[in-house]
Amino acid sequence: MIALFTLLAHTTTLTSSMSESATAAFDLRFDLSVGYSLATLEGSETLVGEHEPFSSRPRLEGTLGLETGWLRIAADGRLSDERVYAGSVGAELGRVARVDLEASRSLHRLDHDPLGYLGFAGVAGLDVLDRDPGRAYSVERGRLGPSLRVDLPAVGPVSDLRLSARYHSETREGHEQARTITHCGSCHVEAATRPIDQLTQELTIGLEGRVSGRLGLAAELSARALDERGRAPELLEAFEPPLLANLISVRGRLPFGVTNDNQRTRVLTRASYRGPAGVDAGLTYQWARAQSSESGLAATSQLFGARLSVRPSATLQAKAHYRLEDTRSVVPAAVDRFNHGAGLDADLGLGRFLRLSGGYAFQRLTRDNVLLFRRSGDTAAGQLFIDERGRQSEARNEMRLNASVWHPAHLRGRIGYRLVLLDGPLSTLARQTSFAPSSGSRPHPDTLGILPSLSSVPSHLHELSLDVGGTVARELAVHPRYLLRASGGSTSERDGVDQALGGVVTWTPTSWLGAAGSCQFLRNRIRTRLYYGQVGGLTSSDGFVDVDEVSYLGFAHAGMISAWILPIDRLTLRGEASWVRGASEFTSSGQSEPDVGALSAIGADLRRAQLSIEGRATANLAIGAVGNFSQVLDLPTRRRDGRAVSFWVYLRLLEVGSP
Amino acid sequence: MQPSLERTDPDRFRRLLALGTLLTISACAGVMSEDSRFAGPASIPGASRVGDVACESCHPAESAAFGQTAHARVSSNRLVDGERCESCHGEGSRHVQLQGRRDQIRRFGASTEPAAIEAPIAIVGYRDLEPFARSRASGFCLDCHSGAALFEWPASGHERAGLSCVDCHDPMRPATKLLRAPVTELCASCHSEIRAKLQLPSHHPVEEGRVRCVDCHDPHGSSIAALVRAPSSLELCLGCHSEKAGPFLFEHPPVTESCALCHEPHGTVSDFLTREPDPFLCLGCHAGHQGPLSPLTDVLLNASKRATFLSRCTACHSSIHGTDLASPSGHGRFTR
Repeated sequence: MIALFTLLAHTTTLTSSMSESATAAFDLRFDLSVGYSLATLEGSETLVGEHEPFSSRPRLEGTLGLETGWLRIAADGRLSDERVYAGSVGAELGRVARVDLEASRSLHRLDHDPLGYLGFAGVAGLDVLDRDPGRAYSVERGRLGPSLRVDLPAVGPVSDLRLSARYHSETREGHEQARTITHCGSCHVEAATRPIDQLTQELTIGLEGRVSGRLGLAAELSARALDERGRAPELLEAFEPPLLANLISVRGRLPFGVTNDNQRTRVLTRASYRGPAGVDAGLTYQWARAQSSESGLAATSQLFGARLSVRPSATLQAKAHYRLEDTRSVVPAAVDRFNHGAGLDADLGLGRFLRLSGGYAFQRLTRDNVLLFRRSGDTAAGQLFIDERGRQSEARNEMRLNASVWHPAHLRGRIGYRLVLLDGPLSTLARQTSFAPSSGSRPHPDTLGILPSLSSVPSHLHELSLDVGGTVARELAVHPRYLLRASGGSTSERDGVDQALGGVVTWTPTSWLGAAGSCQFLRNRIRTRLYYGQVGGLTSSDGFVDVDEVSYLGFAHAGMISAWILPIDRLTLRGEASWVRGASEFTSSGQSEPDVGALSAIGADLRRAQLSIEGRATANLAIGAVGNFSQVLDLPTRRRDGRAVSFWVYLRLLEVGSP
Repeated sequence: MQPSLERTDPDRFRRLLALGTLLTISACAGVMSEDSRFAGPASIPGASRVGDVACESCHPAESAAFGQTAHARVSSNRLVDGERCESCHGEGSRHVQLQGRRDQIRRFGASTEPAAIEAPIAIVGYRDLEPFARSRASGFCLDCHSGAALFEWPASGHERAGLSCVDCHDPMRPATKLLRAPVTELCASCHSEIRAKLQLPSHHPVEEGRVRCVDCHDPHGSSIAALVRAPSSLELCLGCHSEKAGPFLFEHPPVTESCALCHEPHGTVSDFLTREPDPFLCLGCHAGHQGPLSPLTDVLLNASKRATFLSRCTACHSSIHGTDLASPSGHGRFTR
């Protein structure tokens, strides 16, 4: 354990005071805590502790630093379980070479879907088969990453030469639930346990330098490979009823989905020029190729970016950028992409306390080989569908305005507005909202069957942001924030409003007492009159029905508060608590839950608290305890899904430095 | 609405030409003006250097803290041994003579017009910088910190928002990377709504300490939005989730474009970080199943298919990120 701990580190500063730096030959600093952790758990481990080991066992954490003039070693880490640890160790030799090693292992508990909500469960002959009911799934992720950095001496006009190499290895081991469909494609779902045993390795080599102090150059070559060592489960009992064998076309064994090995190679080059008068320019070019080694499929992409900023005066700055992305694939039926765009920004200072900025950007996104329409084919000839493929293109115009105000004593604030207009919108506007995409279903109905084509989205988006920070009194600071995104468009008759309101308050009346609190309200609502195929199908099985109003509402509020007090010298008390409620609900023309599905309303109520106490016995020795509580309630049922309580009692040894 | 089939905009080249002309004019104007971006602290009129020892006599705590920082160990043209304090704060003799009068400490980058100078300058301070002085302060740091990691700072969202290096880093603080606070707390001090999302039922384990903000975002700049630490957001996600990289024989188009089309990476109410719960997320783009599948299934399933088809699409379409295996019908419907 100790040997492992010494590997855990991170880069921190380790030296004696400035006046001593010239003479200090040896400096050792450490801060180690060792103790025992107790944990109790009721209910679902996955819900109450998705990433926590919840085991009662010894625990160790801390930092360690050593400096001997030309050599500096720094380490820190924590070990709470054989499955959960993290840390790194770094050594620097004379500020010329630096070697780092990071290692971590973490636990991620995975969901086991009981599939009980599938409506056909229990219907004779049609079933859901879970081969491992009740099994707990998890994956352990281990990371190992050594890196090397060497600063080379200047060569002629080339200075700041730096050679770097990084290796990154990541393992994923465990089991997950795999699902697949058998038989006619919509009535039989089988779930089985799939082992996970993946190894991802990546090697990156980089070189950078500066020419004549003004021009910076950097190049990077990286290669990544995924090796899937797990074996996907297979269906061993194919369903082939003699009477319906022609209707239900099942042949032999069928595997669950597999993860194929893949490789990726990337070359990235960058240049930066800093000229006089604040002229700053940059160029980026990247070539990358991804390949699936088992199928031989490949995709090649290129990226080019350029930017320029100038400062004609002390209070005016202008910036421009251009970006191009081109992705070509040899995968049959895959979408090729060509995106490019340019923009211009300007910042202007008005007086000492006000700064205005504005910008405009244009972007065009083009997709080739997109499935535009699917029609019924000649089934007698074995052609179920006829696909029409072609090009889709979206033009995006974006304008933004910002104003920043500042006062030396009390105020620092910013207000911003952004408008995005789309011509021929694709689904990319989804990225603009925080909770839910403002994309919408395609107005039906010229397509039969399953429709795998992307659809239209709102044609415009407004965004308003307000961010103010200030000191109300000497001991009280507030920082409220408000963010509003609203999207809509007459084409889709769809609008979405996404809001975030919150703030942070800190109160430090004395040197021995302080508190901080934050609260956020997040709300996202989408309303639409668009046709939702499935919802319409529910109300009329022989036609397509417009729904008067389909709405989605997601909301969350999160509150956190923390406080600390030093009632007497050498004693510290800290407390933290958080309460988070989040839910989302889907409604359709006032229909009840059975009509729109059992999963139409989901949510959770999470409550956590932590209390800690630490007392210093001497300057180098402290003893402390930490208690944690967490609870998860399901919403809207308010069923308690899990509760956990844990304590950690520790002894802390610390040495802040020696002359 | 039919999407446009035009690949190029006929006005594109005219717009680019106008843009280029404007930039060229601006660049020329900039070359002719003062080199304000990389200006260091103004020289203190009539003052001379007194050395670090003199500073330490009145500021012992600051000197001790500074002594444990990387800046205390580096020697360069700017950071001269024995005169490190004055390398950034200007010559200190007048500050010593005036016994540190606070009203004669001028903020770095404050307006230099005579009318704007409130009092004679004795020393340069870095607290509560004026809006434009903030970017100039960053330029001062960039004089030495010129590595590739900072190439994109001048075009970063943080710089555009008026932030400077000293908003997150304290050159006097003996902490990792001179940070003013642990990185997650530091980011959350401004991005409080993001921290709220990280508390939601489905979230990346940032609060648990497994992932840090800076694992995905580069606060010093990026070539794309949101300070993403990769040339594209897709590459960033696939760096850890390489099993979804493909390329697959049957691709789900948004997966090859941006994970953020379906996922909110910080946190959501619904499972798997999806922006909306399944199936409503899927219904945002797909019409889904409608009408009877066949007369037989219609008779058998009409009552139960509602719950089935309005449950999770991914219960059946489980390989939604792409697959090389065809569905039983022979099409790529991501069912295995």
